Amino acid sequence: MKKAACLLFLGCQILVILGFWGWNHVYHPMGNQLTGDRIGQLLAYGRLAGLLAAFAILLQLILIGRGRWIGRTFGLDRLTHLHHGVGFALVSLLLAHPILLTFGHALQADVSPWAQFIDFCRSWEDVLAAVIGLGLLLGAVAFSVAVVVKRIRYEVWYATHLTLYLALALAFGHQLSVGSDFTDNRWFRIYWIALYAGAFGSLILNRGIRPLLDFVRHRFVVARVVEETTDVTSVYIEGRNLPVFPVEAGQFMTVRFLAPGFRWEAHPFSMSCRPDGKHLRLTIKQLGDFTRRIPKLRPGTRVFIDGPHGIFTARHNASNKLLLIAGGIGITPIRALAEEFVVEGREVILLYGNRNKSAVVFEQELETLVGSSAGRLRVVHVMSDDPAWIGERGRIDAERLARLVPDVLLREVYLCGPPLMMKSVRSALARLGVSRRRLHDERFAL
Amino acid sequence: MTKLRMISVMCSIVALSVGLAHEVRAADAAVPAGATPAITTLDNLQAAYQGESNAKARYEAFAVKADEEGYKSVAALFRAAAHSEGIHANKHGAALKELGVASQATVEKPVVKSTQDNLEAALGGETAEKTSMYPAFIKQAEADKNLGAARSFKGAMASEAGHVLLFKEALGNLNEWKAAGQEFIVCQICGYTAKNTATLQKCPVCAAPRLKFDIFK
Ligand SMILES: [Fe+2]
Repeated sequence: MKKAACLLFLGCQILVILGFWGWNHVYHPMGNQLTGDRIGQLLAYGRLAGLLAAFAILLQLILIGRGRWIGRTFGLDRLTHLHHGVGFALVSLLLAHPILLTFGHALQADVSPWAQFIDFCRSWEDVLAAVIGLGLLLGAVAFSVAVVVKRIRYEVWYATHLTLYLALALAFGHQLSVGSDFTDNRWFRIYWIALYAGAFGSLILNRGIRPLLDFVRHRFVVARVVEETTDVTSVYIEGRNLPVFPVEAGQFMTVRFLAPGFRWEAHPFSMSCRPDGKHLRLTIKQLGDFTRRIPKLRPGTRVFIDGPHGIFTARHNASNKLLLIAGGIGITPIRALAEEFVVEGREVILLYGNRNKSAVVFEQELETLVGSSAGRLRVVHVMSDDPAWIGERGRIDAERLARLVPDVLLREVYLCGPPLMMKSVRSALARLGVSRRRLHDERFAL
Repeated sequence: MTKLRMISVMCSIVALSVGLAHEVRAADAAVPAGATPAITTLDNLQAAYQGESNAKARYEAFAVKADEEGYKSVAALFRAAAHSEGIHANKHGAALKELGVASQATVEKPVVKSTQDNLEAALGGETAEKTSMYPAFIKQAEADKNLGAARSFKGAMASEAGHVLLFKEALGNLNEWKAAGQEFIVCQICGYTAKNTATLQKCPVCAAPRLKFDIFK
């Protein structure tokens, strides 16, 4: 219902944009530009590409802002897909916009496309800034496409997205100063400004004001820092009124530690235990410069939390049988979910893949959990590269899944791990006939 | 997978734009294959070229007269309109060239009367062009599939509509328009003419920015 309303709203915005654009070009001083000559069409569709690109960018902002309800309605994973899909459409539209307009205006003024392009940069207000913005954007996109295949580091993700904000700012001016759809139509201009205000409003509300209110209300503070393995650390966070902080097992939050050396970076981490109303626990692997400094965090450090986010939670299924699959540090939300499901009295198999035994996090905790589960939880460790390991050795592939979990088709599956591992497990599950609807997976963040 | 898809989408956009652009040149340059069909549009182009060239000369003479009679703002308007008609003449000339015909016009000596009479004469001429001549020419050009000529006619017609409004306003406020102070812009790209106001950021006809405007005062 909510979903339908949301899609309807989105569709209406696109119709409004198409409507204004169509009106401007059908009732044009030069006659109907959509059915006229090619110059008119190049200009009209070039402008449309620009309008839709800007709309897609605003949509991205709303997705990034992800109010809690958007995540709950659509599912974070589908949102991530949408975010990336819209991103690609965006690049195409953003290329079409200047190309079509350069050719259109070049023909109209009877100059070469190159001369027209130079003219755009020299004598069209704010267009040079927009060209620079487009260059930055394409650079950032090319860069992130090049590295996304590997495991994308948070710092890289952050830097590219910051570049995108800069590009967006650079490209805003020319829309209102030379966008003839707006200079010729006051109502379209007003609508457009409202659209921007709405998108940025939702971003600021969800990523700025709401976390600030939580900060004041809960006064989050680091209680203690515990070493789990040589390169994994748990941070326990306490605060006031924690029982009403609406976090669920499996969710993540974007965290900023207010201490020297930490305060300028915010990173997303999953809850690694079932929320007990007394503390939040984040378990963090040392993967980059920021996470390497985590063990040095001092108790008493104030914490700014944006979240919780995500629908990788128990709430979304009622199945009594579950299969949880974790790879490496992907155990954090899985560990929280395992406890949640056991407490709820459901039957759980947890497959936990690691390189070798020394990389296993929560070994003791998981054993304790198994002991207290009255046989409802079974944990199977799988080591990909540990000759000394007596148990399962190798990857979590279709053969192993079928052998360890013969009733896999009867189970809801939760999967979290490094991208490549998730990809191979997803295809193994598909080969065994597990439907996509029964598979929940988490990639930490948009 | 997605990378490939993205690259192919981008390539097709570039190809499409280049293709469309070439098509325009081809369509504009196309001389109809039959022996006669282009004749009328050709005639129309020549008539329009002749008309605009004469209008330019006439308005220049009217501007001189308005200055003599002390109608500073009206003089500025006539100079702007003359410039605009010159741009239209050039556009028609270019369309003639596409048909392989050199443009030529016999410019007659303008009949100059009082500024009020001149304004009325100008208004009559522009109204006739806007309401009957150009619409017929456009229809013919579209029937002949000469999109270049049609565009040239449409651009001229859109400007003439602006001229009509300005001449009417001048006639209605002849006394106020004695003083200098009215400024007019003419779009260098399409000849669009209007009063110079701060809110006019772009040409509403061809979308050219303010820097492409010539200012007359
Ligand atoms: Fe213009």
